[in-house]
Amino acid sequence: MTVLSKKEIVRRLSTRSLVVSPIIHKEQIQAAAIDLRMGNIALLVRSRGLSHVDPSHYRKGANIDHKHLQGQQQKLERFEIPFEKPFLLHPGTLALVPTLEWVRLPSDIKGVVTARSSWAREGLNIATANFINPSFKGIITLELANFGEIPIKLFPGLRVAQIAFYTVGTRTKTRKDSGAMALSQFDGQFEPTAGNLIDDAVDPFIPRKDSGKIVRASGGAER
Amino acid sequence: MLQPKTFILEECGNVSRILHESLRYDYGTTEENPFFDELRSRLTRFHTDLSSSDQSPEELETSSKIVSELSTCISLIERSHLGEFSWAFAECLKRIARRICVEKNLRSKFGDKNKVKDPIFHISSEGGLASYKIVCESEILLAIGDRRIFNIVFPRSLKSHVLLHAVLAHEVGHAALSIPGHLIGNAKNAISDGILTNRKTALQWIKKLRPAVKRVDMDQLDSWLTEFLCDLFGLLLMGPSFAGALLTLLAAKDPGGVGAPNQLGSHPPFHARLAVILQAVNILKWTNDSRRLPKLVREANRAYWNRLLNFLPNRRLSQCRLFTNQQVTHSIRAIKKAIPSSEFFESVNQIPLNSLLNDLIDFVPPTGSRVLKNGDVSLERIDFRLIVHAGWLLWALKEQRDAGEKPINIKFFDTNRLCERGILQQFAIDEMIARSSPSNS
Repeated sequence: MTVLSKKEIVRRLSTRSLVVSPIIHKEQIQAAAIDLRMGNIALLVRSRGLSHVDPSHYRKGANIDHKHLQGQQQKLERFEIPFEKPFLLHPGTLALVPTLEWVRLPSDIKGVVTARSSWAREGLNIATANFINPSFKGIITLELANFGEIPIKLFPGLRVAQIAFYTVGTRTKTRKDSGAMALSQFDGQFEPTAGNLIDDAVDPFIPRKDSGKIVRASGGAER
Repeated sequence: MLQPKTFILEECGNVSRILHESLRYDYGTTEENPFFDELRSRLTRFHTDLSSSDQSPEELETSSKIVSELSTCISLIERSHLGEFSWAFAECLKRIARRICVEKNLRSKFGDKNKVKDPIFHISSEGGLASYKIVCESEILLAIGDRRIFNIVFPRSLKSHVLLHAVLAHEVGHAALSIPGHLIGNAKNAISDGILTNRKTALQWIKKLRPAVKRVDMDQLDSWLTEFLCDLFGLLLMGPSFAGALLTLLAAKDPGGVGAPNQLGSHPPFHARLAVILQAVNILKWTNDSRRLPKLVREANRAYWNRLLNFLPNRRLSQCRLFTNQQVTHSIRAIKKAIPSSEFFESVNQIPLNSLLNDLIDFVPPTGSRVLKNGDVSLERIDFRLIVHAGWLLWALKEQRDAGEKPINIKFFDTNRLCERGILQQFAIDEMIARSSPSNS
């Protein structure tokens, strides 16, 4: 796995085999990464009425009741932030924001997103490093958190993160190819959303509450 | 029991309180302050005038209407959250509409008397497919104000459908027509001498489409003429995408194309509107197949115009035709005379169309940013109308190619969202171009 150099990044961007768009200044392309700008939406946790994160609330399906659906929808408050309007990120707050850039990776490249170190020194962090799967396309969701002690004023268009690219040993097949792995749940996204914390097929350990009985994901009722 | 004047003053206070409550919302990218300031000063003036004078019953009736309309106008703020409509598209449309609807003779009555007062465009969203409209405030409300207020309404469910938003160009025509003395009114004269202005010929024509219609209402036919004019205006302003948007929306609303069987309705039959649009695009030579265009654009153009031109059989088209080519030509000329040519789609640089179309085929938002081989970045201003046009061309190309060997795997919703995102990203590109231009250095 090798990291792409600036020369290789430029080559791929100019031939459109790798897309990070729009690049609006050449200084955005660094020695081995591209700076990413903050987009125009911020999702913040709506604290009223929420005591904790419960993975079972993330269960998807037609039979999910109104309360859980509403909980999923109301967990995050959505703010649209036009250019030149500020957004204050308070200490201890987590905000999901999209990148301004649209990213499309080829099947032999994986992306790694991190905070820019100059912002990290002010307390702004991307809570976890984002791994972007090969063949991904869409906006990247930045999980911005203020680890400092004073609020940080942010504006859409600010360069807050960076993405480095790594080659993958063998070309990765995706769902579009035959017999391949599934694309990321965030593939093709236009704006940030909460992720799927659980998938009943993969996570059989979360109890399912149904008609007053606790039913296991396999379908057997608990006595 | 409250006396009428006392109650109107009470309601005036209520409306002021609502106005202050509205500050809790972010309801626009720009013009929040002017909208608030304009309404606050209107309320203050209205309250002062009303409380210091005795009013006749007629004057009280007018005052009652004013306070009621102010309440309606202010309540729009609560239906105008930025996340409920495509604000990037709305902002672009507002910029054009503001230039078209400026009244050079409307000077400030209460502030600097030498200053031309630009109109204020407020955006809101409402349910229903028929909600596309631009509402002009009444003259009685403007009488106590300094700036004319328009409300642009987007359908809530079509939040991201910028391809369909092209139809709002028709409403910009209505907005311009609602301004007393706007030159656009002259364009109506060009189509006013024909089938629809004679009761007998109008009835004969309508009976061909709707045999059950027994009589015609000349006022309604006059409003049809206005609709035809606004269609032509919308086409010139927004370009070819206006035709695609209009066809998509009207074909769903009026699949038969002739409207309700036994009444005229407020709008002309859809097929008659389409006939005028097709006459206009032929007159404008937009359907011509230019060899100078890149291969992809030519293919997409052909697919787009074939779809429109073949939507109706020729027999039906000639049956629905109301105007001669000369009338449509004169009307187009009159519209072009009323508005600076720089406002029309024909003045938009169309060279980037090929790269925008390629972006969309690659599932990338279309913008004017490119990275060059040497690492430099090329930035270009792209008019939002060209992005929407590229979206429609992609869709026509998809419909054509899906029947062949090279299908394009994209949904209409995603085409719209890519274009919407392209328009938003273009804001950042335009800003960077503006800041790096020599005049700003």
